[in-house]
Amino acid sequence: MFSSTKMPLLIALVALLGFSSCVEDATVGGSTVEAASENKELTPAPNFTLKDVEGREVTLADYKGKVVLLNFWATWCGPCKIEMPWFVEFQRKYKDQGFSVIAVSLDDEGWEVVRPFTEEYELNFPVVVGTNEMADEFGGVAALPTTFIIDKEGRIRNSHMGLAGRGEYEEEIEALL
Amino acid sequence: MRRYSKPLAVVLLLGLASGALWAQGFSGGLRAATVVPGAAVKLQPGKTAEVSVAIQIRPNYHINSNAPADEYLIPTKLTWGSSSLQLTKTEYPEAETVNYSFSDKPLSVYSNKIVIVSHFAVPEKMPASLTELKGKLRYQACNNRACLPPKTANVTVRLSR
Repeated sequence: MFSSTKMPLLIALVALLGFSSCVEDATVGGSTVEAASENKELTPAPNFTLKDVEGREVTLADYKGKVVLLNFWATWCGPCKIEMPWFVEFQRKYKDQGFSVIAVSLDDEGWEVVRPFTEEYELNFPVVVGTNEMADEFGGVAALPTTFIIDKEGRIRNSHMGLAGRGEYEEEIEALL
Repeated sequence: MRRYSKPLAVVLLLGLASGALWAQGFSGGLRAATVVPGAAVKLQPGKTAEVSVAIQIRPNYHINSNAPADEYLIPTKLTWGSSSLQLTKTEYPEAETVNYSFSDKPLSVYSNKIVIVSHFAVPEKMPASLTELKGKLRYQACNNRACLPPKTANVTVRLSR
């Protein structure tokens, strides 16, 4: 029915789509999905190449060998603003240990609104402007913030939809460094 | 090559099907506000007409008011398509000022049910084709942990004479 190569992706998709029940529920947010601990069940993070605020290409595959906190956000998203100073601190604290935050804005207005935000919040990590197609690659992004913790092999280890705890992120990052 | 059982495959496919709504990039998904259909609005030539648009907001969610407290926030806005009726003003309801854990200042929001009222000048001669008004409601909703993408809902108001 399904080959062994397709099965882990299907399992991961179904796990992520489990979010859909949260979406139909009255309270979106606060969902965490921990990927299976056995390596064979882990989903590779879809690769992307997008430009940062300086016009430089940011390619997820180039971050192989690093732990990546991939955050989908928007300037109009209040809970996202709570997390941004944490991510600035994580970048400062863990950068030299093989870690990076990559923030993907889903603002329709693009850099016009994202650029001032990055300056105001003094973001010290790569920020790119994402697309619907890219969000689809990650299983769709139903609400913001949505954050994926990606291990050094480029596999998704944890997913959070909605505001998560700072300590929770730190635990997940440190476990993978 | 390893094979998986039929029941597991069925469960997976059902899971995928149930998630179809969710997997729509960033534009699909839950609608936190619904335009409630109202009664037809009676037009009298040469007079003014008041068009009320009721919006039901999902429990535990809020949408930004028409004048949010933060420049980054997306205001709720009702706009109307062109017609022989002349829009004179749109009145938004009084907003709630609420403190949320994710904001260092109170936010100006709507929750539960709200009504936006638009006023139109009705011409002396109304075309026979004038049977409805079409508009769009732009809003963006959040709960206390997450935000949904901005949405634009169609608004249709029936007109009678």
